[in-house]
Order: sequence, then structure tokens, then C-alpha cells
Amino acid sequence: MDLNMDTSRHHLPGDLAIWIFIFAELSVFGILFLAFAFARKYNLEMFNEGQLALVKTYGALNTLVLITSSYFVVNAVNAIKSNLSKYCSRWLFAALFIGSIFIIIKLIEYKEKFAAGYDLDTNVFFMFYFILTFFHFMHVILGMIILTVVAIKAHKGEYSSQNYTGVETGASYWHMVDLVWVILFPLVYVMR
Amino acid sequence: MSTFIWIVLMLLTILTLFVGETELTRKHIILIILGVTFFKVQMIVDYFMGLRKVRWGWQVAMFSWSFLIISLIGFAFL
Repeated sequence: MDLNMDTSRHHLPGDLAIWIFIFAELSVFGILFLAFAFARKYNLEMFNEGQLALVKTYGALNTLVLITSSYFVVNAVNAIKSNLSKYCSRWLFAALFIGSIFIIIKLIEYKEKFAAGYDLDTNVFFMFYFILTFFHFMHVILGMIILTVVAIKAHKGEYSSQNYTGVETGASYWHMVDLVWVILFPLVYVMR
Repeated sequence: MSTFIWIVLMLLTILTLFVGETELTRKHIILIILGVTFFKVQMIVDYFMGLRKVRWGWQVAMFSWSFLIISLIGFAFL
């Protein structure tokens, strides 16, 4: 099935391969989210008690951080569409800086949890908490590596208003990382 | 437009945090949070990812994923 047949619509942002990858990633995260939700249904007390040990503020701050970083990436894409490659690279480096705040907050959170004696073996809630958040954390790292490569190439002037598929590809992946966290935050930290 | 979407997403995130602390019934809290989450996902898909202007097949695929996952989460929580 060719999803790009309708030429009256805009092209799919970035490379087609990244969208296949994004859908594969979303499927895996979707299954993990549902596994968490249904495991909670049968371990209600344990999940509610485990959630009380989490710091909601960390989760909310990280959501604000990722949304802001995503917004900067949108600005980077808009800049390169206007042929402003230096602005594009600046927005991308700004997005990376904000993204690194996510890493710092997450590491502080993990450190506190381990210091309090929580780990994968504590119970089913913490098993899910560590698997879900660490799996997402690895995606943030990968997204930052991709954005770093794109930002350096943009800085070198390798993209232009005629050639920006690479920027859109990196941007699409980063937005996926943001999108997943937007669901993960209320699911793990807020709803009870 | 993207600046407006960014502000809305930030405000909705803060709203999510505070709704969880309100005196509303558990059912209402979950419905509000899931509704807000679904809306946020659509905003990111449409305006940040830029799928609003691509062929409908991609929009349907993304809409179906978020609708299915968020509905089933709601089913498990309620």
C-alpha cells in the first residue's frame, strides 16, 4: 500500500524508513503500557503504594523539558526550510541542551530510588517502573545522538531549504520520544 | 502556531499534575487525564511531527494507535 500516492498532500516529514521504525517503536511501547495497566488492575494496592514512592514533580518536569526540546526541534526544521542552517543548528543544540536536563533529572531520580532500596526485584510495580522508564531513557539517549549528528551537519551547512530530509528524520524520531513520555508520565506517575 | 501549541502542551502538563491531586472522584480524574493525554498526543502528532498535512493514511495510523492504547489504559483503570 503506497501511503504517499496523494500528491495534493504534503510529503511525509523525513525518511520513510524512520516512520516504519517509529511505528515499530510505538507498538513496543504500546504493549508495555498495556502490560503495566493490566498488571496494575490485578495488583492495585501494590501499584498505588509503589506510585507514592515516586516524585511526581520529576515526571512533570521531564514532560515540560521534552515538550520544550521538541518545540526547539520544530523551530530547527522551520529554520532549515527558510535556508537558515546556522539557526537550524542553534535550535538543535538548544534542544540537545534541554534534552540533557531530562537525563540529569532521570539520573537523580534513579539514584534516589536505588538509595531508598528500590530496584527491579522490589515488586511488579518497580519492575515495570524501571523497565518502562529505562527503555524510554535509552530512546532519549539515541535521539540525542541522532540530533547531535544532525546539528553538526547543519552547522557545517550540509542542509538547505532544498535538502532537509535528514533534519526532518531526526526531528520525527525526537518527537516520538516526546510523544511516548506524554503517555508514560500520567500512566506511571499520576493516575491511581 | 507551534509556539501556541507548545504553550498549550505545557499548560496541559501542569493541569495533569494538579488534576491528580484534586478532590474529584477517581473515575473523573482518570477520564480527564486520559482525555488531556489523548489531546496532547494529537497536538504533537499534528503540529510537531507535522502529520496534519500528510496523506490521511498516516494520520489514521497514528490516531488509531493513540486511541487504542489510551482507551485500553482507560479500560484497565476504570
